[in-house]
Amino acid sequence: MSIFYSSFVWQIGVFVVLIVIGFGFGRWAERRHYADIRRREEDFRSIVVVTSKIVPAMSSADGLHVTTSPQTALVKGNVVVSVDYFKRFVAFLRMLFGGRVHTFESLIDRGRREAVLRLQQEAWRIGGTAVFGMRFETSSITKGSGRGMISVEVLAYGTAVIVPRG
Amino acid sequence: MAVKLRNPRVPEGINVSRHSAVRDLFLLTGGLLAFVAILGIALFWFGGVIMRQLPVRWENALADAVVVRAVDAPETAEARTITAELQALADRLSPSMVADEETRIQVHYLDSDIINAFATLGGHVFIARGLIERMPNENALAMVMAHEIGHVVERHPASATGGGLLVTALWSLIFGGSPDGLSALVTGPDALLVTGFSRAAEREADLRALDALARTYGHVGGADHIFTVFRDELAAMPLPPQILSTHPLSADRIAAVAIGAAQAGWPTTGPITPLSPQLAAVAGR
Repeated sequence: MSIFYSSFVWQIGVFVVLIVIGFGFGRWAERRHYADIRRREEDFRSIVVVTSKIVPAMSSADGLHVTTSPQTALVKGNVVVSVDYFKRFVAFLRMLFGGRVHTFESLIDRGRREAVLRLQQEAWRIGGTAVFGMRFETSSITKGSGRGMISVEVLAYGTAVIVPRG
Repeated sequence: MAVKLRNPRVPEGINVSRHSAVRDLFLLTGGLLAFVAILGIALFWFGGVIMRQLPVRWENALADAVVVRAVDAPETAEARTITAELQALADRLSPSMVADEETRIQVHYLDSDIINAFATLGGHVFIARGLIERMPNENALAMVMAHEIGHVVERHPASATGGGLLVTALWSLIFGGSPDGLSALVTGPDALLVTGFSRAAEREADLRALDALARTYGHVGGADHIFTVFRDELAAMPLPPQILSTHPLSADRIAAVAIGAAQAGWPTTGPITPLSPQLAAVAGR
């Protein structure tokens, strides 16, 4: 009788501790990442990223002009983002009952914005001024039983156009 | 027309909706616990009903395949003698308790210090040396024996086994791939259900045992002795809340003996039968 009681209390206690730690550290990490994302998005605002595969003629008012044969290069941004224990648990409950899984929205949003930032950074490193034909590829690192932590890999790739400034 | 390329600052909160994850946690957990409780009760009850409908001989066959193989035959002459004495006591109590021809009571002696006795599938009753040592007379020991026989007659072991198996099987199917913490939440309410059922079963067995004692000895004197032993043994230990206990409180059981006797008109005093010499030797008398 007392063994069962102890085991029950221990299990619930460990669970509550994991939930609290996941919630606390998860929120702190997420807020820190978002602040970093917003700062870097301002830094790379000059690197235009579009999904169009066609490079349009650019107005000289942009400070850019298209040469007859612009240089292009494949650029990519890759990131793996993980969710904390709190969000994983809430998401699992939501998946039992149905409805929108709010707790994963910020995970995907952060992943994609971070991937685009790294794409822009790579383009900037090689002298690119714009990235065309940008596409996302999103995949789960941890699949299967659900007992593992959920991590999402986001890949953003596109064609950087290296246009000399004239 | 020249296309102007821009990289504007996009407003936040479009792809990430405003919501309270904590509110979700409490709402969904509450819903899950309610679902678990309702379904768990239904499954446990249904599993128990199914098992109780099975013929006793099927239960006996299952028990023989599992319980008997796990139990060692008495190794010493003393153990065999004690087992025979306990079996004889059970055989004296059984006629007033067992109505089904297929129900058999087979007693096993546990050479252990633990103060315990229990019944399992197939009418197997186990009584430990630690408990016998604390019995002052046959009446007190008979209460314990009759209590365990009462579990067998009411088919409590079968009911608990069936209900528990059904709940465990379905939970594994639904929550098998869940985060670890979920299993604690799910098994918690189920465990409360099981302990609640167990307490009700203990009260039922107590009443059966009192009836058997009254029929066999003409009174229920000495019936509450085992509960005073439990109460005294557990007095120094911090007890969990009653809701987490598989047995009613000892004080409640002592009171229930008096109440049951008064309601049924059983005398609470009368001639006390001493333990047989072989059992008295175990008790050190």
